[in-house]
Amino acid sequence: MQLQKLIKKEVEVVDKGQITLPKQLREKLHIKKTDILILEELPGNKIVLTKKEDIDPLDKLLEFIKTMPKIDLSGAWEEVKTERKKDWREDED
Amino acid sequence: MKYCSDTWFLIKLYEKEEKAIEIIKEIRFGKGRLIIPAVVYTETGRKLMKRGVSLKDINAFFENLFNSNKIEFIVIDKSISDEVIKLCNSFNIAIMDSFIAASYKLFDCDFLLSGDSDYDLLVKHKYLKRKSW
Repeated sequence: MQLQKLIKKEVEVVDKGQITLPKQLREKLHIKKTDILILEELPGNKIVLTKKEDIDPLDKLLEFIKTMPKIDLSGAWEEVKTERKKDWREDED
Repeated sequence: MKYCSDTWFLIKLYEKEEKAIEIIKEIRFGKGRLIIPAVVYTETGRKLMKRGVSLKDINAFFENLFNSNKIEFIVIDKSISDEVIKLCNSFNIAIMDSFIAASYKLFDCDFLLSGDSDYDLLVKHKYLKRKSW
């Protein structure tokens, strides 16, 4: 049996208790933006983080929408309508 | 309720508009379903990119949508194409609109989520029902 190489890293706690998960770990465990981690305190000043797998994708979507930066999409729909009509008119000509 | 999304709806959703979010919640917690025709996916992705949204965020947005078994991506197949030909000839509407309307019809949707009044001719002929706000 091949032993899995486990990652151990030091991370610094910054403002408001935030930490950054090392890229190597994120890639290995496929942790991406909007994923939810369960934080558990263990005896002996230990903390365990577990990736929550059973989240409904639509909950993740709603969470993602909540956290994503506000984008100015004004006029985007009008542009789509204009482009559709333009394509149609060119087709008709 | 089974909905068919026009690009309009996905733009509203990305804009965090309350009513669009309510529809996603209705689908999430109820029996609702949503179909997203390929042309809607393409148009939305293009518009978001043009407005400076990163490809990573666009992918995350669509990945979460399509990971749900209540949301379906509709490819353009022969049956849809045949319906588009019929629609274009009968109603003289834009080809993109026809692809969306044909997807609505062939997938038995209850409402088209669109702010496009060009569909009203199809509404008048009871081909589809449109929901907007």
